[in-house]
Amino acid sequence: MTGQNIPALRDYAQANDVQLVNWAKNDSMAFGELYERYMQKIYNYVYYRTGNHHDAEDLTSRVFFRALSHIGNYTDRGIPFSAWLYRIAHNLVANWHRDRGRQKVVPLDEHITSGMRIETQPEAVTESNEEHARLLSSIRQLPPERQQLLLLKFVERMSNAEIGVVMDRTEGAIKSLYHRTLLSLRGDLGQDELPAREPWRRRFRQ
Amino acid sequence: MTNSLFKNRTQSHLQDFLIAHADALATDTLNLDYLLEQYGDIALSQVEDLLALAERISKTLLPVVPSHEFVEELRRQLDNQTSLISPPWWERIRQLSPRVQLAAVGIGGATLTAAGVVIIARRPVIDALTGKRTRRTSVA
Repeated sequence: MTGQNIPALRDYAQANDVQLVNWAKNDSMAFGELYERYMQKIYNYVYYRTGNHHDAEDLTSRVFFRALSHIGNYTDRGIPFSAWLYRIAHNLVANWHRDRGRQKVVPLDEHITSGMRIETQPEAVTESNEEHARLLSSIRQLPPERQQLLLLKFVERMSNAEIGVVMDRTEGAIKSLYHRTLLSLRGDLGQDELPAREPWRRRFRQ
Repeated sequence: MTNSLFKNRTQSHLQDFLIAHADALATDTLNLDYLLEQYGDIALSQVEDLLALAERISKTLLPVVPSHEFVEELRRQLDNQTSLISPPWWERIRQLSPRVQLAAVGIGGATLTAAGVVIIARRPVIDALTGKRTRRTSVA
């Protein structure tokens, strides 16, 4: 991205988000840096909420175009730029679901296979793939805010405080929501699908 | 009341433990024995299945990588878009150096003063013209 009439000595890589956002109001290089920082995170979030790469690409594009067109009006009133972006993404995903009136099942993409850290026996891989697919399917049946919480915690690796800002809730509410989400998933999956007790305990207690 | 207070406190303690476990999983720093020590009054058997579930979630929700073509194409499109956006006039003024801003204010002020002086100086002429027009109207 190119800058116009901008001081040449701006260190975009070292600048924090607040500086970049201020610069980005009239400096496309600064917006480019914000894009580099958050594109993949937003893509991940949207991917898991939509379940396919095609819609994830479409919605990620819309998130950044919307951010670009509104960045001039953005002021940090306790909501960091990253949280602002996630809120845009969340709203666009909600509209996307509303427009379709259905929830698509997450396909078993290659990333699940490639990312697994399990035994190399083919049967084990297939079985584990099926488990992952079942779990993903259950996650996608959860209410949107519970899905959002799991994605922000496990994919985006956010702290509870950061999640609280994105979701506009207190840290206590986030903890409580996480607990309820686990209980709900456990109920949905049933005890049969949870790992056997003893082998799991041994893994941690050795 | 004491019972419900105790229950709430226990519930909150359990939630703290579960979220601490999730944090450790998400950051690949899980040491369950240490965690259980920190939350001494929580028995493993009480939370075992929830911890196993959380572990499965963390292994399932793996980060995905968008295609290189998509990343580049979106960057190019945003670049085109940003080049079309020009900052508002007040932002452009703010970008100017203080000396230039001061000079601009000076020039603006001088222009307004000169305009005021001209208007006042031409006032008799304007009045005369207005008066003539009024007289013409009254004669008619």
